[in-house]
Amino acid sequence: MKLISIELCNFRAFLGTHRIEFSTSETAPITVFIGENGGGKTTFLNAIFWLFTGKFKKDFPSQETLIHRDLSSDRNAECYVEALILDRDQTLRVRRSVVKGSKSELDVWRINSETGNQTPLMPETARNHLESLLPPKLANWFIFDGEYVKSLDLKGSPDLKDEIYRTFGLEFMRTLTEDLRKIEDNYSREEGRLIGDEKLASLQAEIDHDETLIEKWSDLLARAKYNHASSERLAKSKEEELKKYGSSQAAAERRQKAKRRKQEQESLRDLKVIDKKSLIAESASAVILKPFADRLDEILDGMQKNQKIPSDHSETLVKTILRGEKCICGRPVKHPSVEYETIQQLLDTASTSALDSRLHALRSEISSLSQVAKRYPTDLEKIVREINSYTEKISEEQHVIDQAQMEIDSIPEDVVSRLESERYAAEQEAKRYFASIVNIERDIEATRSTIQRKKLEYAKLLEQSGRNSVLKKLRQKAAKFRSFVAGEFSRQESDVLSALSSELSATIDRYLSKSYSVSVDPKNYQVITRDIDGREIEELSTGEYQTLKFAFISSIVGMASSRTKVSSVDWITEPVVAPLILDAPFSVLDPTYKISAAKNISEQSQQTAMMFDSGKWTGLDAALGNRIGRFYVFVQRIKGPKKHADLEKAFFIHNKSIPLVEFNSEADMSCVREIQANA
Amino acid sequence: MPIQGDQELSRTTDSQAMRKVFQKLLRQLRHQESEKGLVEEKTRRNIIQNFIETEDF
Repeated sequence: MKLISIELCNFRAFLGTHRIEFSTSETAPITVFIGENGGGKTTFLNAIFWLFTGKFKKDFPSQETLIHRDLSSDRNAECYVEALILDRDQTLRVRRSVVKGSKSELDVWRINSETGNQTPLMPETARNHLESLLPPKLANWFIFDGEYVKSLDLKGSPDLKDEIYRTFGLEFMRTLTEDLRKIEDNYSREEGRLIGDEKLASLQAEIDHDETLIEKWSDLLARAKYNHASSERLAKSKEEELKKYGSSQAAAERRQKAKRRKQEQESLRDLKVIDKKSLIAESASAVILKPFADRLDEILDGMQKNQKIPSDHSETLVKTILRGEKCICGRPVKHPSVEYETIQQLLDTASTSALDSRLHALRSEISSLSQVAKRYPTDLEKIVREINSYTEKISEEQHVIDQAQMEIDSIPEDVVSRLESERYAAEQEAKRYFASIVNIERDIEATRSTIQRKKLEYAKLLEQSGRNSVLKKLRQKAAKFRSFVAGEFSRQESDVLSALSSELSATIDRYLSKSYSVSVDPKNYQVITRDIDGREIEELSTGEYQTLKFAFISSIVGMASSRTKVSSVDWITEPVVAPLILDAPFSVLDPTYKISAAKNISEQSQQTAMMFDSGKWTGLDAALGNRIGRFYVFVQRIKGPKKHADLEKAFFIHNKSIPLVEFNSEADMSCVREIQANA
Repeated sequence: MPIQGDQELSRTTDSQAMRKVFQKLLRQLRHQESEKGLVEEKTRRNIIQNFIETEDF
């Protein structure tokens, strides 16, 4: 199927009628559109999507009226999107329209290639015919923007498998196999009825019931497996996120230990502070008195030197008086008398030895005082040094405490707690799904055995009961046909998967510098990437994963239209072949891959329309080159004069400047202008 | 008793014949769809059953 042209009339910003011809050339199948934000690219993409599906892309504001707002007062206003489509040898005119206040309508006409006569199709047929060209569930594969690429899940989603089945015509064979099996069963049932055996009928009913159960369970199993894998991935990703925040528990333990060490050091320091106080208390008097003591010592030294202190002579003199009972003046001093008592007292006081002893004691006190005073600075310094050392250690421990605290504070508790609870929930989810998988698999296995046993029993009973030869022949015919279709289904599916794996590997090889190989798991259609040693790569980088998705889309589109380079499929049912309509498709890609992705996707599709911002066109001109058949720009026409200088946007190509915004228009609107594709 | 090559040839010929049968049914179903719109499951099965009963294979 190819698009010949699209006509938009009053559709959103496109006021009036706008016709766009697409390139249908085999050698130059690309039609390029350039436009700024608000120029009409998204509207154009959605117009085509709406035409084929009756719906809009997820982010398109579809609640707004589709008819241009300037026509809001016109009761009979209408908008439509119309396409001329080439489907093999016939041309179709397809038109979806809305009259104000009514539901949209779809009309399809067949155009006679010789006479040009147009024959309308009945509404139901029209819808069905259009859906056979591009099934609505596949429209996303052919009409998409960068956001769709982002949301594509290649990790074994059951939806992906269904979509590939539809794209490659496998769905038809699957349904046909199922239909044939039921037809076979009908023949069997009829045979059973003809021979009047109620047991056969009830056995067949049981088999039917069991097979319906298996169908239901198989679907549940596929979904449970997918959900299990998704939950495990989610739990793992939460675990990875948690690792980034570190552990508050480890930091809290460090802080606790440092606190204990700090307390020990503080106790030791407190003891030293007490020592210091005691030293000061004990030494204060010595320090204060030392100058006086030193002075006293000097005085005493001087007095001794000058004999100002009583000497031994005085004592001898008094003793001589007392012994001779006569004073040196000659007067008698007898005992007992007042004089004797007085001299006796003098003897006591004049005792030089007692005086010496007192002086000695005094000087010894002075000496000890001096020593205490002398030791004081050294002792004090030592204690102060020790106190400082403890203070330093305390400060170090405080630093450790602060660091640990900072670490704890830097961990956003709410985020960590949310992540932990999300991880826990995902783990529980995964466990639940795993349990479901085990249960469903066990049930399926058991039911399959039962069916097998019942079928054998049925065949035996049928054999015993005699048979209707015509019905038996028809049943065998149906079985033969079913066996052929099932075989072809397996072959085509195997061909598809093998071709898809080869295509993906070759495409990825062209895109990335790493030697990766890619395969598609036949069980769940998960896309698996392996490195050069064959090891599975669990997580590709975001850039690589987006690139893989592009390679996947290119490969599928290329295989369907038989344009692939490395592989082909012997189709027994035809795949869906439709034009690719892309809006800013490479916005999610690393610029390094943009050029090769654009080149590859344009080579794989039989017809492509690509829309870009003017700034994103760089490099693509050279990459797509002479494969561009037609080239358009979306021009935004603004009512009234220019207000801001920065609105003057233009697109530069072939040394020409093409304005993308025009002013003084009669209405705010978008329009399309064709420019020469090649210089 | 046929030799192995004959068996292969017979299988291939049979497969090609079945392929033609399949294509014929496919065309009938597609025609039905494009002419009369969406084919219901019951109608589709009737078409297939009728096909089996009338076609020789």
